[in-house]
Amino acid sequence: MTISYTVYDWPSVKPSRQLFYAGGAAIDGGFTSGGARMMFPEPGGRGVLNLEFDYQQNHDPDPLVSWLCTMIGNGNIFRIPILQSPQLVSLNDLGLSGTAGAGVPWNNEQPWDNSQNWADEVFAVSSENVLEGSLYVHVEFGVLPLVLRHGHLIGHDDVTYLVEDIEYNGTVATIKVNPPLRNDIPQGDMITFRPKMLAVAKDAQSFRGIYQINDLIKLGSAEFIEAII
Amino acid sequence: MSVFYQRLDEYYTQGAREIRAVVRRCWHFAFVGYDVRMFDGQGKLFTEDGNEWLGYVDADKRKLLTSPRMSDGRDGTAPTYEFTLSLVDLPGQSAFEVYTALKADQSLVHNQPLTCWLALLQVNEGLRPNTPLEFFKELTMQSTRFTESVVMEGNSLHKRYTVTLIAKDGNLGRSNVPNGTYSSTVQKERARQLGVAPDKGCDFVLGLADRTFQIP
Repeated sequence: MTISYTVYDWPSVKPSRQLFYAGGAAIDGGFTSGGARMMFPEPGGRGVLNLEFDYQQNHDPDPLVSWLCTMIGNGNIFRIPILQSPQLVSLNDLGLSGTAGAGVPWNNEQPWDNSQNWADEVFAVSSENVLEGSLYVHVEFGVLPLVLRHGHLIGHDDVTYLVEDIEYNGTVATIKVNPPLRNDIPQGDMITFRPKMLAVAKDAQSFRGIYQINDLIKLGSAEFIEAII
Repeated sequence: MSVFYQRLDEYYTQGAREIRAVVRRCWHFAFVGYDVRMFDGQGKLFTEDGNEWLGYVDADKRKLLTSPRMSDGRDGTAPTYEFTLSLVDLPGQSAFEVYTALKADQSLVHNQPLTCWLALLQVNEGLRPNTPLEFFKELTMQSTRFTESVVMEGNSLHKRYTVTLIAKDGNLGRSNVPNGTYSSTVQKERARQLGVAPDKGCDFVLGLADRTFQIP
């Protein structure tokens, strides 16, 4: 039995609040004779993305919102880009001034008419072969300033990882990631600072809103769990 | 001592004050033509021997495979071990399709081995332990049981599909062999068949099973 699946790219429906975290699990281990409660860490873990939405207006996204309200159920897999927040290295940090918010504006400093900028891509290169399931990635920064810090998110092959620990040795950083690597990362592969995530919505009902007058619809929140393919 | 127990021993004797390693059970189901390997965790486990083990704990920390507690068999009994797998809807394949396909393949189960291994996962190893797996117990799969049920979840009715595997350990059939078993019940029954007084010679056997030692 082979399983075939489709991955949908997340449409241009912007969340107003978001958070990515790598959820692990702890197992209750009972009490010791001294009365201490033992919680045992679970090996592995899953990435979780929490998104919250507001009113969507009568712009282009409207029919897409209707499509999303259906597609978000049934365990469909979405490729969701992580939007600009303190979780991502900002262009300002990298020395590119004059960019407020996410992305790169036109050369007259203006965004598109939906008030979004061009999407940007920032990446460094893996300096060593590492295998799926391990916790460490080695990244060569080259000419990039060493701006990656604890709590930033990096991505590889549509998987988002949290920088749990990072140590710089010259221009090479050793990063401890959470969750463990989902793919082999050969030397020379791109590690992006604008990660995307393959995820499945956990509770579709809390996302859906209802169309009101003036083409308004208020969407709710969605919790997306990393899809391990 | 194997590397597994050596490492556990080191942790214990060092008087570790925080959890630096966890042990997880790994199950190898050797169906005819299909090897299924699962482990008690989230994600995929990669072991030294080159195998991949699928974690059966889902994102809600629910175990999709329920596995029974292993007995060490020293009391001579052959308990029935039942393993139940809950089938979930996958994109592109409904639980019903998987259920029907598995039902059609049930002949691949009988008399095949089911091995339980222990994996030692140390901190900073992620899902690639470099301790070789420790053999724990081997069972022989006997048969399957397929169940469909309808449950109420919130406001809606859902159909649940589960597959149960029944396995027995090496004590199966022992009482059929002359002198093959030494449980108290069997000994007393033999005495009764031979017409002699009840034989309490095997009463001590029950106390042998699953001894727990408390380290003071």
